[in-house]
Formats: sequence, C-alpha cells, structure tokens
Amino acid sequence: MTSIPFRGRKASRNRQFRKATSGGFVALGIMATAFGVFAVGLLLYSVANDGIGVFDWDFLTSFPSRIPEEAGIKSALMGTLWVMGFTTLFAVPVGIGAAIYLEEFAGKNLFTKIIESNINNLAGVPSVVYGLLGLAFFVYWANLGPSIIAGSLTLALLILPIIIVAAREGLRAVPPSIREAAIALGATKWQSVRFQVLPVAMPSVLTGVILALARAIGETAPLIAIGAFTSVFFIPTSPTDAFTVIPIQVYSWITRPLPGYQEDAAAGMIVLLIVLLSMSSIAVALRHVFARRRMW
Amino acid sequence: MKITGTKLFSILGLFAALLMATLLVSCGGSDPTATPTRTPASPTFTTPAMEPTQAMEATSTPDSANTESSMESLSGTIAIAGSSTVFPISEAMAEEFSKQNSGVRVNVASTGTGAGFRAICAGEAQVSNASRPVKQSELDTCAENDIELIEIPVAFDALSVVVSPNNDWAECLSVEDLATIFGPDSHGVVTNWNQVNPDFPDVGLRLYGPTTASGTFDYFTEAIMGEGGAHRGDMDLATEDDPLIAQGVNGTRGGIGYFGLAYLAQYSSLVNAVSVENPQTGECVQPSSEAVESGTYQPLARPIFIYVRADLLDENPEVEAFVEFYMEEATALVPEVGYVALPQEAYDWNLGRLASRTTGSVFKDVAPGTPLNTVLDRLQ
Repeated sequence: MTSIPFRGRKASRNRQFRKATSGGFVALGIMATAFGVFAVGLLLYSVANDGIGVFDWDFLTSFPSRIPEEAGIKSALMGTLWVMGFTTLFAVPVGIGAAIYLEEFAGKNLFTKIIESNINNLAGVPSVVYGLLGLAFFVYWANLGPSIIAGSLTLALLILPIIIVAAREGLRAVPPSIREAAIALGATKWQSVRFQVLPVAMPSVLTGVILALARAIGETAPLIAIGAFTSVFFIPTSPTDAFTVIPIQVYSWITRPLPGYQEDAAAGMIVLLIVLLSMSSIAVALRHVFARRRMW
Repeated sequence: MKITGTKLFSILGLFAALLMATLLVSCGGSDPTATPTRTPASPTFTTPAMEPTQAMEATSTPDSANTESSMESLSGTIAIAGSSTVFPISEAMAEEFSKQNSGVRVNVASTGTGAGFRAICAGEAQVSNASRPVKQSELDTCAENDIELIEIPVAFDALSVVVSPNNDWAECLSVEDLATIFGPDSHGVVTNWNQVNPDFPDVGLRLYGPTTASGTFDYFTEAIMGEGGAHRGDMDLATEDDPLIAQGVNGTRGGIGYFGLAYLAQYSSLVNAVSVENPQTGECVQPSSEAVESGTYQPLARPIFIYVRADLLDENPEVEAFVEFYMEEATALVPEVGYVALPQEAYDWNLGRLASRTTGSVFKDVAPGTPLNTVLDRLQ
C-alpha cells in the first residue's frame, strides 16, 4: 500500500526532471540559434552602417584611388565576376564528373579508397596552400603570370574537393532501386545516371556547388599568394589580364591608414554580399526547377 | 544518344551563362559617362608638403596641360610590381595617369621589393617599385634575360620625431635613446624620461605613434631597432591620424611621437622636432628637407626608387610616357601620399637618364650615410 504513492512520487519527480531536461535543451538550442542569428545580424548591421554612406553608383563605377572618397570597386567587381565565371567553368564540370565516376562507375578497390580519402582530406587543406600551388604551377611553370586564368584555376582546385564531396552525397542519397529499375528496363549505365540519378541528385549537388563558390568568392589568401594584391586601373578584357577581386580590395583598404578607407571597405563587403546573394538565388531557383521535375 | 543537346548540359550551360550574363550586365553598367561627383579629399590630407607653394598646387587632379604625352592616344599595358613602401606613390601616379590615358592598362601590385625585381627581370612587369637599390645579383638575373634597368629615385622616405614645446631636455636623441624609448624590450619597463638618460628629469613618458598598418611604423622600426615591426606595444596612442599624434604630444609635457616628415611643417605650432644624432658623424641633425637631401639626416631618411625596363622604351611609348608623367607629377603627388619629394633637379636628371636610356644603378654601391646630394649629383 505504501509503495504505490512512493513509486508515484518518484515517478512524478523523475517526470519533472525529464521535462526540465527537455525544456532546458530546447532553451539551449534556442540560445545557440539566437547567438548565430545575432552574430550575423550584428555583422550585417555594422557593415551596412559603415558602408551605406559610401555605397552608391560612383562607388561601383570608380577605380581605386589614393583619396578614400573617390575610391571605387569597379575593377575589383569586374575581377570577381571574371574569376568566378572561369572558376565555375573549370570546377563544376570536373567536380560533378569526378563525383559521378567515383559514385556510379568506379569499383570499390584500394585505388578508389585512396582517392576518396585524399579528396576528403583535400577539402580541409588551408587555402593559402592552394595559393602556393597555384603560384608554382600556374603562375611560374605554366607561365600564366598573375592572371585571371591562373587565379581561376587556383580557386577551382581549392573548391573541387568540396564540390566532389557534396555531389557524391547527393548521388548516394538516390535510392539504388531507381538505378536498378532503369537498368531493368534496358537503359545503359550512362542512361540511368544521366536521366534518372543525376536529375534527382541535382538539388543537393547544386547546394554543394553554391557552397563551394561562396567559399571561392571570399578567398583572399590564395589570390594574394599568386600575386593578385594589386590596384587595377582598367577593366579586364581577357583571361590573361591582371586582376584584383573584391576581398583583396577590401583587405587593401582595411590596411590603409586613412579613416575613409574603412567605409570603402565596408561598402566593398556590401558589394561582395550582393554578388554572393545573387549567385545563391540563381542556385535556389535552379534547385526548385529540378525539385519540381522529380517524378516520384 | 545526342549528349550535347541533353538537359544536364543545358542546365550547366545555363548556370555558366547566367554568371556570364551577370558579368556582361555589370560590364554595361560600368559606363564611363557616369561622372564621379565625390567630395574632394579633406584638406588635412592634401596639404602636407615641404614647400608651401607646392602644397597649394598639390590638388588631387594634376594639371593636364603640362603633360604633352596625353595628347597622343596611348595604349598598352603597364604592370608595376614591388615594394609596399613605394606602392602608394606609384598607385597615385597610376591613378592620375589612367585618368588621362584611358587606353593604357595600368596595374600596381604590392609584392615587396625583391618580388618586384623578380617580376621585372622575368619580363612580367614593366616597372618595379623598390625601397632599396637593386642588388648585383638581381641585375645579373635581369641580364640573363636581356633585360636592362634604368634606376629612377622618386622620393625620400623620411620620419620626424616630435616632443612637446614644454619639453626642454630632449633636444637631441641618439638612435639608442629612441630604441630605449620605443623598443620592444621597454614594454612596461621604460616609463620615465630619466630611464632614457639619467640627465633627463623625472617626467613620465607618454608615447604617440602610428599603427602597425603603416609604412611609417615599418620604416621606423627598421631604422631604429634594426628589425621591421620591433616596437613596444604599450603606446598611449597609436593612430593613423597624424593630427592626433601632434595634439597628444602637445598636450603632455612628457609626450613623444613620430610621423612622416612631410607632415611636420603642418604641426610646427603644436610640437617641436627632435634632432637625431647621426650615428656616423655623431652630429645632431634637425629634420628638414635640406638635411634629408644632403644625407645628414640619418638614419631616418632613405631614397626610394622605381626601376624601368630600358629595352621596352623604344617600342612601348606608353611606358616612357608613364615614367615622364611620374617625374612631372612627383613634386605634387609625392608629398600628398606622405613622402618627401626629391629636389626638382633630380627629377630633371631622371628624365635625362630616361631619354638617354642610361641603365645600371648609381645607388647600388653607395655606403649607408653617404650624403645623398653627392649621390644625386651622379645622376646628372
């Protein structure tokens, strides 16, 4: 008789404890999220606050200047667009191709295992190491100089592992039954990959691509290593031209003594964010197109 | 199966095309007809100069009438690489030169003096920036590639040390004194003037200076401590705002600070310049443009250079036009970016050396501390 209320009290205390634990974890989760949102909000606010006064049409259409009020982002913005265009051109086809091969065609042997673990490790290599590789290989050995093409190839190498890893994850998430069904109906391996697997995997592949390009667009160190720490007073017209990119221009401004350059740097970051968001929205739009096409 | 027409490739192509389209749209947006309507630079920035009359003329847009070469429409590429110290001068020159010669594609890279010589000797750059004279080994590398350099001193990099007008003891400081005051070992230790020299009174040291971001900081630490970046961290105020350094030093009896010599004239009512003992002669020298030019103001003054490829000049008139522009605008633009301009004759001699394609280095074998006017005379 006495044991029932006792158990009840214990059970009730236990339940209260478990409820408190659950509530506490939710609170922690909310705090962690709020911290992240707050940090991003603070960043956006401080950048917008510092940069908005300088951010205007003149800023977009002026070359760098020794006078902070006259300095603009034109050559760096053009450089970023050129470099990102070529980086995309080099990295995306090769990256997705490598992922398709490794995931769909390659046999599971020691050789592919070594390649896989190397790619995973390469995704974590500091970017300046790629810069030194680019300097030795593209700038000097291939004699490309500190040109757009050398910068793009360096950045393409930098983001290839990220694209490959993300694209493989996407391909792996497609149920094997889809491939088997395609092959059972007489499709070749290529046809099953091309018409069944890849379209379904495309949204997550694109997520990987956009994350990789977002990393590339913000990179400063590897491009400084290949010699792109430059004030450019023209708009590049060919891939062999010298160039600078927005992060380098921002870095160059931040290191300058005159106070007006800090505002130029903030305005440069706004431009970089706008370019980045435009790229992301293209990817989001493409994701929706692919997601709608899925038949099952 | 026709691969080229398939959706995958069209999607990938679309993605690349969208990026390219963004590029093209922005290219179209960069219409040069959009006239900049920026406010001019603050007067505190445009006026520092050794000679007041030149300071008046040192506006942000040099007079285009004195550059005949801008009449011809030039084209081509001028890549400039090298010293971060010379970078602000060459960048200012490139900025103004580009405004007048929009057909010439100029870029200035801040890579360090050594890398600048590597680039010019490998044929990757037409002009190199250098904060020291070229070395024989670098000339040899150039010669292997059939590249010859014309040496062109463009400015003096000079600093002034200043104290409060109420400071009646620190009239002349030696390099050792300055190292005691600003050196890394003094961090938290040397806090009183009598620690610098027992003859000095019991007055607290208050330290003012530039931040680590500036070339002034780099050069001061190289010249005084013998090692770039070696500096105590407990400054009372480290700022890139030279007026604040001058005001800070002015407001405290024990204050001491340093900034570019080009700015000294502006603050002469607030601060007194300290003479620096020349380590070679033991003589106390007041900072002045004359002392800098005569080479007696050591070690806080040095000439800085550009080098240009002689073999390019005949076929690439834009390179010659750029160096000519550099020489013509130097008197106005050099002080504007915080350096001391050379005497006008030196720029004229440089033009003569350019015209006669006189290659090789005059400064290469000059011992440190040699009066610079005798070296400059050799440019004739």
